[in-house]
Parts: sequence; structure tokens; C-alpha cells
Amino acid sequence: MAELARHEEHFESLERQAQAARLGMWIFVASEVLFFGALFALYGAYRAVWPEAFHAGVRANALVLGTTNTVLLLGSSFLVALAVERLRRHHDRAAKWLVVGTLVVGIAFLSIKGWEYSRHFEHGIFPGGRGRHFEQAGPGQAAFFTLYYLLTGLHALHVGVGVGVMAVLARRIHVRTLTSTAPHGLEVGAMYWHLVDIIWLFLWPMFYLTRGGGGS
Amino acid sequence: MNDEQTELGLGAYVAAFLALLALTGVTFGLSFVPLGALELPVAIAIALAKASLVALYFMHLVEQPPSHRIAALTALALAAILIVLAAADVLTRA
Repeated sequence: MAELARHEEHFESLERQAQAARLGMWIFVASEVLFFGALFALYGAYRAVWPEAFHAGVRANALVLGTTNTVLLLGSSFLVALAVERLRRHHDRAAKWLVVGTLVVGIAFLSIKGWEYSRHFEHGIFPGGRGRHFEQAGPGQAAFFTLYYLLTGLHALHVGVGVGVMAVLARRIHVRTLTSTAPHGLEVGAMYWHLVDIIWLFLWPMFYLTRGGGGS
Repeated sequence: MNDEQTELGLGAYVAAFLALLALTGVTFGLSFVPLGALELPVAIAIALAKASLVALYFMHLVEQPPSHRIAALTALALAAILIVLAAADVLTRA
């Protein structure tokens, strides 16, 4: 039997503590939005300066891999949202396996991303406009791919942290230090995962879809 | 406080996920349509719609008090100011 979850002394009730945890997480999410927002502004500025080079850069990226990763991350968000729903309805075991599923899909995303990076390296595309690809392509593509590495790299770092968070949450549900009596621990961790998903929803059109003229 | 809260049911998550997949399909399809200068703004608008679905349903914003919404919307508004003013600068340079 799970013991009844107790709230910390400085909170009136467990519900108050849960709301404080959620608000704290929203403030963290808000600061991440500003962090990535600044980098998106930089992307917009360089894209305005070199529109053709950015189209060429997007065309050089693997549409299939980027789109596969979009569907994977959306699916993983759905899994962890279901995990929260299951835990709230006292199906702790189902919640644990849904969290494990989220973690596995996250690793699949990172594997595809890593394979994509290795393909770029083979094609002579490195950060900072280094590599033989840029002997022909101008400074615009160097800016495009440097931003690509910066933004997708930062995002992949977030996915990696998310995988770690999911592993900790699955373990906590397994050893019953996180149970349906206080499911907000999982909710807050899931919010981080959804944030990572949301960032990718913007990176996908920025780096894989907007290739100009509708040509493939 | 608990009484005011209505927790989302399974159907809401499924509906949100299906809508997200549909919008993903629309974005993908539109990338083959020549939209000219509107290409990026249209794609970003759809991404914003998808992000709203994730925030409202998967992140449970619909269940939560207004203070949480203010935190999220403030960040969005400030990021929008940053991006729009930076764009206005670059696009109007002689």
C-alpha cells in the first residue's frame, strides 16, 4: 500500500504544493521560450539577409529524417500525456510503462539525429562554415548550417536531459516514491518533455520544410 | 480548490494528438506548394497552433488557474516583440 502523500510543512495542502510546482515549471518554460526566441530572431535576421542560401540549406537537409523525428516527438508527447492521465486514475503500472515508452522514443529521436549529423560530416558540412561543402556555397549557407547545428544541438541536449528525467520518473514510480496520491511530480516532468516537443515543432519548418518555391 | 478542477479525460488527449498529426500533415503538404514570401510565416503560424494544443491539453493549461496562463503568455509576448522588432530592423535596412 502506498502511504498517503504528505505535503511539505510550508504548504497548506498537497493541492497548493502541486499548484506551486506547476507554476514554477511554467516560469521555467517561459524562460526557455525567451532563450530559444532570441535564437529564432537571429535565424529570422540571417534568413532575411540570405534568403536563397537558406532555401538551399533547407534543400540540403534530409526531409524524411526531419519529418520522422517530428512524428516521433509528437508521439512521445502523447505517451507521456497518457502516463499522467493513467497515474491520476491510479493506474501506476501503466503510467510507468508509458514513461518508459517515452524514454525509448526519445532515444530513437536522438539516434536519428546523430545519424543525420554523421551524414552531414560525410558531406563536408561542419559548424562555422568549415568543410568542403562551403567551398562552393557562400557565407549564407555557413550561417544557415551554423544556426542549424546550434539550435538542433541545443534541442538534442534538451532531449537528452528529458531522457534522464524520464528514467528517474520511471524509477520513482517503480519504487513507489511517486504514486497516484501525488501525481504532480510526473506532471511537472512531463511538462519539460512537452516543452522540448514544442521547440522541435518550430525547428522542423525552419530547417526542413521552407525550401522555397515549393520545389523538392 | 480541487472541486473547481475538471481533469481532462482520455478523449481530450486522443483528440489533441489527432489534431496535432493532422496539422503536421498540413504543414508537410504545404511545403510542396509555392507560397513565396508567405512560406515561413504560414509554417510558423501552424507551429504556433500546434504548440497551443500541446500547452493547453498535454501541459494541462486548460485545467490550471490564470496565473499559469499569464506566465506562458508573457513569455510568448516578449519573444514576439523580440522577433518582430529584429525582423523590422533587418528588413528595413537600406
